[in-house]
Amino acid sequence: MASARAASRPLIPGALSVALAAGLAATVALRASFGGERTLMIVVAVVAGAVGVIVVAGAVAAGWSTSIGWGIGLLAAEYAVCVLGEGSGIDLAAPLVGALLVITAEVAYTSCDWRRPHAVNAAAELRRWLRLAGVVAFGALIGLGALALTSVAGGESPAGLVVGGGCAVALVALVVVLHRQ
Amino acid sequence: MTWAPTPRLLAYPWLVAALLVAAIAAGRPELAAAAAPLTVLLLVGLAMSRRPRPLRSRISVSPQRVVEGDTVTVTAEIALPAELEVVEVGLPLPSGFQLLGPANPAAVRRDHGAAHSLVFTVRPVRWGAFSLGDLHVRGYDDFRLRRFEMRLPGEMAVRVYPRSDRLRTLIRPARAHVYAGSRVAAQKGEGIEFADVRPYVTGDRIRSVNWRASARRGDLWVNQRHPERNVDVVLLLDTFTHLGPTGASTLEQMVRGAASLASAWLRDRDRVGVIGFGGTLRWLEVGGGTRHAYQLVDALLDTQVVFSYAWKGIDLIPVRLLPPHALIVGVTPLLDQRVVTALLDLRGRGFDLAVIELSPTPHVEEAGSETEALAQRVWLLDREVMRSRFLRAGAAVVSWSEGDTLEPVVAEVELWRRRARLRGH
Repeated sequence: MASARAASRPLIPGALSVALAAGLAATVALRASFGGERTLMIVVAVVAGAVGVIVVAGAVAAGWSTSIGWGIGLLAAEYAVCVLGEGSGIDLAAPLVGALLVITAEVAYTSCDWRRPHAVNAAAELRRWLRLAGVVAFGALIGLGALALTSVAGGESPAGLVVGGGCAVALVALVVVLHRQ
Repeated sequence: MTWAPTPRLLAYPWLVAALLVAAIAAGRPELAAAAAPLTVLLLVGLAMSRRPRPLRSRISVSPQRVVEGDTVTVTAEIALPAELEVVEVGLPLPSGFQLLGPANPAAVRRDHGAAHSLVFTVRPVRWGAFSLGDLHVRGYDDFRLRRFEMRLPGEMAVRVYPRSDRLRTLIRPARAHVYAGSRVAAQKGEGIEFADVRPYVTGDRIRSVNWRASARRGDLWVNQRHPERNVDVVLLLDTFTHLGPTGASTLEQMVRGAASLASAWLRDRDRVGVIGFGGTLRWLEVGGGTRHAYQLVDALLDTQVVFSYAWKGIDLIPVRLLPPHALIVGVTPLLDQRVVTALLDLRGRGFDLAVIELSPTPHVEEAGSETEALAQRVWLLDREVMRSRFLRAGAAVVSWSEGDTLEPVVAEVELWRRRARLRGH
């Protein structure tokens, strides 16, 4: 039989996910400058971030894994509002924010998985996290590359919009096709 | 077998779609860049996710007939398909079973097609008939986007017999049956135990002549002996109500006690029957022998409390269940008035009766206030009055507390009955 250890406590990943969510929300809110005039956007961003952290914390505390997506969505919305309020400059930290969103979600989901009777194979679990880290890092690099490409191409153009839109639709379609398979 | 999306797969595509739409609508590439890690995770995860083939397994449960406190092992040989790296295997335990090891559920990892042997050791803490051996398996794909669940059928019936004390003393019925057995009957006849001498009459065997008495009296006198007979015993089990936690309730104590008494009587070639007197009436007619012993234990395993408001008296008990001259042993916590009345009715109709009271007092919470303490005292006095009614009627009542052995209780019943006989009750 493979090595198995007693059911792990969900407290550690739960606390870690809440800390990650809170840190991400605070960092995003503090990094945003908004030019000092967009008070409403600041309020919206902070509220979205705070509610996102509360939703993640509540989901982790109650074991409602389906609510984690909403919490992560709110954290992403906070970032989106902050980006919209930033003006014309490109935020190169966007892929890092995306990576942190994924890591926060995965840690929160793990906490929920560990709330019910479960067994953990330490080696398999470590491999899963290494695999996840690799994929997320690769995704962040792609995001960074896309940002670099955008900054080199410069400005908004109808052609760029069409290409970007087409890529987005293709990606979503690919996800749907893979999901259905 | 189920192969279903996890909450991750239900949330991530919407997040990706929302970020990409926002990026296009607002013309902000950062939002698309923020969606990139999640998008890559989804694409790679879904591309690698393959529906697993069913697991190959062989499950065995051994032994399938045990006594309370013994151990039962559930052994599973599981071979994982290539699509699953690790699975969690859980054994659903029926109430009344305790897991001794390993952790439940346990993780099983794939080992290049070789089957893993997983052994769960459980201990039954309560008698009864149980189904055991079904295993639940849960696994995930590489990125936990889809969950695999299946049930490995291995269900087998495990019969857990009550732990029984070996009794050296038994309650001696007032009157024996006509069949040969191990009990010295009160009547006089052919037997081993000396009873009396009487004058010789034609037809008496010469070997019965008591030569010493004949020489002293100048006439022929013969010995009379007590014959060895068997007895009929009916165990009347009170299934109206029970008190206490699982594993130590009065119901479980009652069945253990009944099993001990029945096996002791059956060992001595007596005939034993059982009546479950409660919300539903269940019975096994008096009988003897090995086959009957198994039937009786199986009947005891099915004993359960069925709640009922309906008044029930002994008129509901079929007459054939109560043979004439049978000893009736009531095993009851004396909590329900219907049983008390039924037992007193039986005594009133001339049946030989003894009552083993399953003491409910250890299961009663301590009084928290003066009023509760007063109520408890009144209740205890009421029980004393009830016991005295039995004693006045000539039926022994002895209290038996959970955790104590049955032997001294039976001895006390027998002592009371011997004294009552001497008093000419």
